[in-house]
Amino acid sequence: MFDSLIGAVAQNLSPGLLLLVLLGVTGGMVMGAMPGLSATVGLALLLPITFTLDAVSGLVLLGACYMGAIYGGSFTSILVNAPGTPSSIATAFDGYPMTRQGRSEEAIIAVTIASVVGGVIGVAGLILFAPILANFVLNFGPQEYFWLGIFGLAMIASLAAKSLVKGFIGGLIGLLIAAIGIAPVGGEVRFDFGFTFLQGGIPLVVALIGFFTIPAIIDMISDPSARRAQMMDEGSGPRPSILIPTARRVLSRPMNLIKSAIIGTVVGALPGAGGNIANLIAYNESRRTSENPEEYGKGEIDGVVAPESANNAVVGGGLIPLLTLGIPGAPPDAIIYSVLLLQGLRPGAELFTDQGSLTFTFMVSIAFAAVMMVPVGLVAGRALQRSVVNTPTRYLAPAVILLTIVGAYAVRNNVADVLLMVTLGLIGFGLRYLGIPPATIVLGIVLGVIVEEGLVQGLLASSDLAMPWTSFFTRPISLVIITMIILGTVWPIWANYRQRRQQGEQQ
Amino acid sequence: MNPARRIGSKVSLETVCGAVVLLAAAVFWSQRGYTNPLAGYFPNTILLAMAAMAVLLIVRGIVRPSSAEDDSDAEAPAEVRLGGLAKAAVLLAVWVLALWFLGYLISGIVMFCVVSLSLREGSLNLRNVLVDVVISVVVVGGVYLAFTNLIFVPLPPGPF
Repeated sequence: MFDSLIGAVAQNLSPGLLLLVLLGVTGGMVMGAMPGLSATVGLALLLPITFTLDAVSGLVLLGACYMGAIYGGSFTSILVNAPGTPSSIATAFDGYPMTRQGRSEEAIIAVTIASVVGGVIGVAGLILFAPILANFVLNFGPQEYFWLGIFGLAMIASLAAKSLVKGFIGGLIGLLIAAIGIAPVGGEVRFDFGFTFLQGGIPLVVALIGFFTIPAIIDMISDPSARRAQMMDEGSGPRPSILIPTARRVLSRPMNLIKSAIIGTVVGALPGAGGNIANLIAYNESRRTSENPEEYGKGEIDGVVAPESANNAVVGGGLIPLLTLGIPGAPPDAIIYSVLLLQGLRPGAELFTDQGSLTFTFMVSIAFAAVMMVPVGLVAGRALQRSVVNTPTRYLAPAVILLTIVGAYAVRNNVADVLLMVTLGLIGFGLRYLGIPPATIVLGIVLGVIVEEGLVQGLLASSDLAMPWTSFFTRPISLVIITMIILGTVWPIWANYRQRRQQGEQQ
Repeated sequence: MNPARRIGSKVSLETVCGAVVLLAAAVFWSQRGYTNPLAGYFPNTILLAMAAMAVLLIVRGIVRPSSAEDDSDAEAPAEVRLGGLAKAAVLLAVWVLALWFLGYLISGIVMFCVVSLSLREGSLNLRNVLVDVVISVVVVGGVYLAFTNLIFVPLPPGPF
């Protein structure tokens, strides 16, 4: 394996492949930064181009684009509260508050470093632990997916530590929105209120833009002077470089980076889970173990580092079941799978032996793509950041509306989805006023599908038992996840209680 | 007490929140038309939990309004300017309606211009209007061409 790795590194250093990596990362970054145009769309657009390339070049281009798209999703998440991809939902929790405090450049630098570290660790996990992780994920049944979804929902305790009841109500509203449309078992249509376009459910991207971006647009339009005051520090004149201090600050807490990357790799290896869930779990874990959990949600830099490290690690992790078992973990992996098949390559052990050179070159190229994000991100990302910060609100607000319309419309080519997005945005704004955090609603929408599918499939699979629901409490991996859920829920409440008690004693 | 945390003078925000959630749960409950029990486990559980939490909020808002007010969330805006909110809602609604009838390009140019002019401070003059019209045409036209001709993402077609 070591010889194959050396050969793969040498091959990746060739100018042709380096150029493809650069093009892939840049193109992916642009696609990822557009709300609604996910990594899947970017890879699908590149698919015809790969037909004209040899197998190695085609796969390298797709891998680089995938990595760049996941990274690019963080930009709009930070700058305008519009996660470019669902993998960057948690990045907005602290990224947008950082922008409002005039610290968007710091956030962009932090996510660049986090994405590189996460991407490289994900590839390391892919190269070193692919067979072990592949066997581990095969033990995940519907019950484990159900508990994994509940584990993600436990994050509500972190997101709404000040008003747990309202936080849980937000999560329940999200789960209810996820239940709109066709039921996963039986195929019955639920809660369509007589509207045909609701029969297919509410697309995640539409809800994401609606709940996060529309309220931000309403804030801009209703009080444009507030944004100008917030941006004043960052937009006015030359400032000392914050690149080195920020890099030092992020790297001074390596455990946050590494732990999040490991979460991303493992969750990425679970088919159907992917970056959408990994970034949320990593954020929650980062907050739980932080010395300053009360700063999360208010512009804590570790709060943008954790989800970005995790979601870029997902790229490598997602390739584990794909390359070893032929199971694509996420839609972008399915496109890579199709290219493998088109080139006559079959996933499995033979891919690592008979086609070892090609496979290792592809895997190493993803690490190269991660490293390439440093120059691309620091140049293009900071240029985007500066242009957004310096754009007057009277132009930024309509420009963001233009892009959100594209994102919502592109999902199903239906103007009704744009209407749906605006409606959800207005509802989200109202609920935010009532104290229900929009982040908890989005969390429910993201996790609703995995929770319900796990629940009904688990019940169906255990229908031979007298009490099918007991199967959710008797499987070893389920028990481990249940323990983590209890810890994840109780910890923020305990920390909050302890903090209040200390404050009481001091007074 | 923060005036934004109260609606009217006697009803706490907590109670209003609970009532809204309870109403939403009731509306969804009335829409249950599924016959397969497996299709109902999940949404029924959610609706019951929502109703229970809503009742909890209402009771808490009535019994201990002061502690409920203190339980505010950091993300809630300190104050909502109703005029600004109405302006934003109307602009967004008109843009979506225009999108339906005029397509992305024409509605985009018109509404981009309207929004930018409405957010301008001070009095409007011909020069400002011309500048915003030119910027609207360039930005919307550029975005339209990039999506439709470069990355082949279809956008709402116009009437022509």
